[in-house]
Amino acid sequence: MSTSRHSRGAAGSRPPSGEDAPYAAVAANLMKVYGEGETEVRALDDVSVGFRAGEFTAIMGPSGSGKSTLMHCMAGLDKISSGSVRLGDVELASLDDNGLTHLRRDRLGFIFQAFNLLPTLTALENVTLPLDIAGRRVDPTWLDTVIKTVGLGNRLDHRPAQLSGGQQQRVACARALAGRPEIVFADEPTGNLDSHSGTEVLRFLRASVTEFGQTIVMVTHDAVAASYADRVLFLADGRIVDDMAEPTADRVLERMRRFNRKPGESATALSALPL
Amino acid sequence: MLRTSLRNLVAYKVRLALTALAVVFGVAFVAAVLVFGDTLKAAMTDAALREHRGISVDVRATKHSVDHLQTPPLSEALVGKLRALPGAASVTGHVTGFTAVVDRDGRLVGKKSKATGANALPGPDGKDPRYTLTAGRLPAKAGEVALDTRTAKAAKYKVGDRIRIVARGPVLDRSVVGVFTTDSAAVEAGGSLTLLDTATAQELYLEPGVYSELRLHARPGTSQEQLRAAAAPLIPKGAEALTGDALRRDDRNKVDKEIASLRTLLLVFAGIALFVGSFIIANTFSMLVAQRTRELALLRAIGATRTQVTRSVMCEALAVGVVAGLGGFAIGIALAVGLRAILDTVGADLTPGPTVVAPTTALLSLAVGIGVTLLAAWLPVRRAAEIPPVAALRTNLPPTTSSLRRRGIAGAITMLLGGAVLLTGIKGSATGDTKVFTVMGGAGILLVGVIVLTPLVSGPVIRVFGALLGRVYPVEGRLAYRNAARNPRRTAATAAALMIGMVLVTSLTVFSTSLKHLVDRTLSKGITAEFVLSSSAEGQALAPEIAATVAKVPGVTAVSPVRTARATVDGKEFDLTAVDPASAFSVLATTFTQGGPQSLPTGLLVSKQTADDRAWRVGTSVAVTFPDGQRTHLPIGGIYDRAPLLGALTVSLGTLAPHIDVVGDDFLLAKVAPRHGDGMRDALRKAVGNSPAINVQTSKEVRKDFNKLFDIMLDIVYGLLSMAIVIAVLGVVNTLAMSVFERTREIGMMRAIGLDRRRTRRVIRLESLIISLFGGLLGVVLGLIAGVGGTKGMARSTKDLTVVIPWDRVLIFLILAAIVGVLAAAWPARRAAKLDVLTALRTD
Ligand SMILES: Nc1ncnc2c1ncn2[C@@H]1O[C@H](COP(=O)(O)OP(=O)(O)O)[C@@H](O)[C@H]1O
Ligand SMILES: [Mg+2]
Repeated sequence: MSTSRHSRGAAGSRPPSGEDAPYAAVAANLMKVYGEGETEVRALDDVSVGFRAGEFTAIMGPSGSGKSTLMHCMAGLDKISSGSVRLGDVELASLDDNGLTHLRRDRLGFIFQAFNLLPTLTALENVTLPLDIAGRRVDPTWLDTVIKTVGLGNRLDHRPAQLSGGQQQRVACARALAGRPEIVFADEPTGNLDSHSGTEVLRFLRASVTEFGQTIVMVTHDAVAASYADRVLFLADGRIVDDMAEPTADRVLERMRRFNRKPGESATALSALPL
Repeated sequence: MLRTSLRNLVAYKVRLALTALAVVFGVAFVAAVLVFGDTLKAAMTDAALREHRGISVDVRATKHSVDHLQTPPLSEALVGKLRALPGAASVTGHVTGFTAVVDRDGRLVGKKSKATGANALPGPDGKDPRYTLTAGRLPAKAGEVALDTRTAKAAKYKVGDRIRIVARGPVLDRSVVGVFTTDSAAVEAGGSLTLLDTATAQELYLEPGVYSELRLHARPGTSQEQLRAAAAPLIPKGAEALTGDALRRDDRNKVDKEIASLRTLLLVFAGIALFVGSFIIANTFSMLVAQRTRELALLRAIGATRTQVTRSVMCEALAVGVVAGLGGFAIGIALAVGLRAILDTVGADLTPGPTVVAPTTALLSLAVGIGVTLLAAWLPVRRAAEIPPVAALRTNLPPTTSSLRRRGIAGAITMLLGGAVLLTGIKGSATGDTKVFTVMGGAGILLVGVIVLTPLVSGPVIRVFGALLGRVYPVEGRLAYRNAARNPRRTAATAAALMIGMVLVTSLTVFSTSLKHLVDRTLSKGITAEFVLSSSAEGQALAPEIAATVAKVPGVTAVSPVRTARATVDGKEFDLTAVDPASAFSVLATTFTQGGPQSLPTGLLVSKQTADDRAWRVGTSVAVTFPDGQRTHLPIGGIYDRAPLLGALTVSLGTLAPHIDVVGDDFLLAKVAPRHGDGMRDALRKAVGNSPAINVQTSKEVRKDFNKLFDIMLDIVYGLLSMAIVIAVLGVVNTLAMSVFERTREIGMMRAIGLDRRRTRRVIRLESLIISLFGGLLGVVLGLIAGVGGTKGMARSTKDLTVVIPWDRVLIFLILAAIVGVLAAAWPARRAAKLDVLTALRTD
């Protein structure tokens, strides 16, 4: 497995994801509780975190640690129990369903693990769907750039059923970026892909951060995938337990191992990771 | 395996309930028709039997004699001879006819068609055992009447009041001498019964000393048959004697026949509803099987046989069928009772009686429910059995791609077959019912062919809809269109269910409108008279004196009565029209192709069609057998082409008069001098004694009445077809619900990337609109073709019939289809919009 870091660009010439860059999204004292009484689950327990503009953040942690929940809460897909989530200058709690929907439409991009696309639409129609919904004009140069970067040139007229899993996921990436959203949220975007296709998708995400200054938050349980990010947040039991900058696969793996070596547990237990 | 089916039933209960509903309505229709028919039959039979209870032998005029307008040959002398028979305990002579009571406001009391007059038969004690007097006595001489309590109460008449009654002739002044209760059928059905003394009744309805019916009661020890045999030699020609049992059997048969034809008509519409319902069933089971492909394949993979899989799905169909049968039966009873109540409140006054639910109705409902469901589910279930076990392992199932070509060929063959049958029906030599059934059968097969082909047409048509909707709602329109196009079979089957109702509604509307216009045009062109006088009680003739009275009214320039009778001419029975030769052609516009009206006083005029059929020409002398059996030869003096009110053959009143006894005019046509226009109606009304039993209408009003009749008939047909439309709507709901269910994850995804609830609803609604408009458009187009074709086909035999397409209605049908679509989408669209985004995304 590669231990190298993935071209984040020459050190020093990095886009505005430095310490001084503004936050694209901020969560403060975020609590998310499912159920009540006996069955109460604290999926997020007092999480405070900020995602800087132009930064590629990976969220890692054992299964059930609250990664997806954090992402859903940050993206306005799920209601939070307490605390606050701000996207730019908007407090999500102040929005109703329509407000949240329009926010997702206009300012966010999504890549899910699977079934990202509408089977009845062509690849191109899928890519432009969020823009069409918003009634926004498609910027042809930008669209060209995105499509060229994901490498879909001659597949644009195909339906999802005619595309491989990797190609479908690249269409989903193009869709997430087509509207130049403030943040792209990706939940295990490579989870269903073979390593080759996964690498292509990750390269593309990396490139969009480096070249276009895109902000990306990606949930993953794959150390290699995490190594494409600028920063890795580690979650456990609904809390942020570590924050690693400039990750490499080896360091991430090492961190994850430590993670599982809780008092009284066998050092080799990797079972918590759904590898 | 049974457990799996049961579990599935529970899992899919809402969907299956919705499906069952499609059959429930059809079954309910059937059950309601049966219950309604049985109930009405029992009540009517009961009433008829009550009227004839205790009669040992009944002597009456033969049907032939009545049809030929002959006075019944039942005289006082005959009564005497029958009384002398040793086996006869009593013989009573009865006279009945039309008589209605006028209330204080000058209107007729009760239902005109059931307004009856009869002679009272007081015994030695002055009582008639059939009636119970509540006040006064029975009428004994001219000028006296007794009224039934319902009528007396309705008009607020009591003993001692001077009242007015009407029979066929002028209004008569009478005094009420008695009020009585009766269980007579006519009164129970909303009519009235006026009792008169025998001599007056005879004078009003027949002639002095003549009865319309004689009833014999046998002495103990003499059987009905013995008495009948003894009476038989005394019965003159034109009358017949039958035993009381035979009479009551006859009553029963008459009611049976009447109900049977009503029932058949209604069952046709129930059949249509069931046919539409079967589409929904077939479609739903197709969807269920497709949705459960993986699960069924898994069953096969772990060792279930093909038969077991078939049986398991068939069990579900059976359960749906049972539920539909029982539910339909229950709702059917409620429907029948409700219909009855509605008809009673609108004053239909059906013969009262308890609701009759025959065990056969329950069995039949169940059988129909199960039968239709199993039959409809059969094809999709077979497809379930064909799922290979390996399908369980495939993750990405390709959409059903089994070629549409086989379907295309099957549809084309079916259509050709239907077309051939239809043509044989139209052009062939068959006549009457056979012809009707051949034509209808052909049209039915043709329709099935079209239905088989709908998936092939659906593509291009809904693409156009999609493009149009896309103009208004670019995103939602495209999503909706693509979904509708995703499974052409499903879309087509759903639309076809709606199409069937639309085809019928449209074609019948075209046909009926064309006929309506024909009648309207014929009347407006054919009648030159300004006024038409007719009885306000359906089927009653006007007394001949009225024509004479009307002729004397100042300003009236010509009056002709129109009478009809039956006669055999040149070996074939015809309806004969009789008119006044002096005035008929001033009140009727008639074109002659040969000869003219001059010869009418002594000759015969015939329609062009009849002349062509029989190869008659002016001058041909034909043999005529008159109603009374007399034979003569009449020369043909003219052949007319366009004469709306004249039938095949026309004679003068004078030629017919000697041969009929019961003289009455179907209606009178009166022409008035132009300057008398306005006050004329009042003058005419006054001349006929302001009788409420006589309608004085302008010819324009008569036309309006006819138009209204067509409209009412069409409305009834719409009502009967609405059930089929409602069922089709259920089908649309079902398909959409299924579609939403299957696409839960897609909907979640769309919501996540920014489609709000309102627009999610709109996607579903537009999909519904596309399906419904497709069904509606297809139905309207086919309906227009069928309606125009049918009308043209009939125009071959009915001259002057031209096709009239009511475009406004056609447009309304399309709008209705659109509304149906929007309504059908309400629930599925709400469900789609209410889906929780995250839950939807997690669904598999
Ligand atoms: N809808 C829900 N209802 C109840 N508990 C939930 C729900 N969603 C997630 N959880 C719980 O919240 C915790 C965090 O879940 P999740 O964020 O999905 O974890 P991860 O994505 O890190 O695997 C888990 O314990 C999970 O069982
Ligand atoms: Mg997760």
